[in-house]
This record gives sequence, C-alpha cells and structure tokens, in this order.
Amino acid sequence: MSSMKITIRASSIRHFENNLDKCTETVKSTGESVIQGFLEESFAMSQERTPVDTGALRDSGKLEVQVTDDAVFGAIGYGDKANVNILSGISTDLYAVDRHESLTIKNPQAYKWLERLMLNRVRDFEDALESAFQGLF
Amino acid sequence: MERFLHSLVAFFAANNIVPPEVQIGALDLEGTYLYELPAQPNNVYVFNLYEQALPRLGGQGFAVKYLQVIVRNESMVQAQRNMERIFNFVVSLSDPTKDFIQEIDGKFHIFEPCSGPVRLNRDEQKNFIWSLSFPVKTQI
Repeated sequence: MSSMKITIRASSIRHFENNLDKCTETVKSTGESVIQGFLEESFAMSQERTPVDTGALRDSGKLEVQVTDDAVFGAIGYGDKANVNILSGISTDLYAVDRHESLTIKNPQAYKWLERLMLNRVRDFEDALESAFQGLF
Repeated sequence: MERFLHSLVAFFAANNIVPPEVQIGALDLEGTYLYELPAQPNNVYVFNLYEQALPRLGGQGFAVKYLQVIVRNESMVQAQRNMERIFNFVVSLSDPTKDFIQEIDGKFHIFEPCSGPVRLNRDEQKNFIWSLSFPVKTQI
C-alpha cells in the first residue's frame, strides 16, 4: 500500500490568485489595445469608402471603444443629428441607414460600405489578436 | 451565385413567403430590383447577395453568404406586412429548438438572422421600402 501527502500553503494560493489577476488584466489591456488599433485603422478605411456629396455623412462618422469589467466593446457609426447636409438641410442620422442599405447605379461601391469593409476585415482582426497574444504568457 | 438566389427565392415562394409569380428579372433593369412581380410593378421583392466568406478554421465545404431582401410597396401597411412575413419566416428557420438545418435544392443551409428589418426612405414614386439583411451558412 502506498500513500501520498500533499501540502497546500495558503501563500501559494494567494500567489496563484495574484498571477491569475495579472493574467486577466494583461488579456484585457491587450484586447483593448488590439480593438482600439483595429478600429482606428478600419475607421480610416471606412472614411475613404463613405459616399460623399457634401461630406456631411463622412464627417458624421465616429469611433467608440468601451471597457467594462469583463469585456471590451468597440463600434464605428455614421449618422448624427449634429451633422446636417447643407444642401438638403436634413441631418445625417435621417439618411445614413438608407444610404448604407441602398444599392444605386450611380455609386454601387457605396452600397453597405461599412458592413462590407468590416466583413472583409474579420481575418485581419483575428490575425491582429493572434499576433498580440502570441508569446504573451 | 445566381443558382443560390434562384433556389432561395423558389424556397421562399414554396413556403408562401413571397408570391409564386416572383421570378428573376433583367439584372440591368434598375440595378437593384432583381426580382419583381410583372403584374404589380409597385409590389417589388429584391434578393441581393452582397458578400460571401469562406470559413477559416473547420467547417470546410461551407460558405457564409450575406443576403439582403428588400420589399417595396405603394402601401405602407402592405410593405410592412410583406417584410414581417419574411422576417418571421427567417427567424422561424433559425429556431434551435426545431430542425434548423434546411435542405434547399439538395444543399444544407443554416439561416442566422442577427438583426431586424429596417425601414428605408421612400423612393421617388413615394413607395415604402423595407430592408432585411441576414447571413446564411451554405453548403458548397
């Protein structure tokens, strides 16, 4: 018959918990920096694709990153009450969705300019995450 | 691409979601209005495949196709009803408590609606327009 004795020191558990906390913080800050960088790059690209008549719609674009306790959220959006088309007098929030969802013969490249850009950048995002986390731990 | 749209429209028509008369129209007619009802020019359905992607890891043999359905009608109520019917149908197809893998034209499809319909601005003829976009995982 054989026996085994295991001793667990309270200090070891505290050490493990501290390391785990550090790890969580590292993941969060790395994730935030990847998302921020990726969205800034995507935002600049989306600005080039935004249909321009007076430029009000392009100028209404905004980028937002929010960090909560357990997640990082990022968003790019177009259309704002404050950005008004000087020719029509209509604020961009009233036509941003329509412009994004409508395919027109005049400017087919503008069709779903933001969604198509982001769908085409999914792999870039995965690569950015992968390279940021590689060798981190 | 065209075969996918043909199969899908036929599937929607077979389930009475779009009228059976809906058929493919001239692609260069208006650029966007691919499917229309000749007898009712105000009652238009558009099926538009705007993006597709191949999975990076696993899931070989499947692609994700991004589809937009547009309905146009001179009646506000009718346009809304037409869109509601399509949206409810797509949502019911993705119900995980039921058989959510659809076999269409001999290939498996999984519908994954992730946003609701949006109302667009009225066109020059003052018709009412609704748009719904959703991805479909498709066997290739």
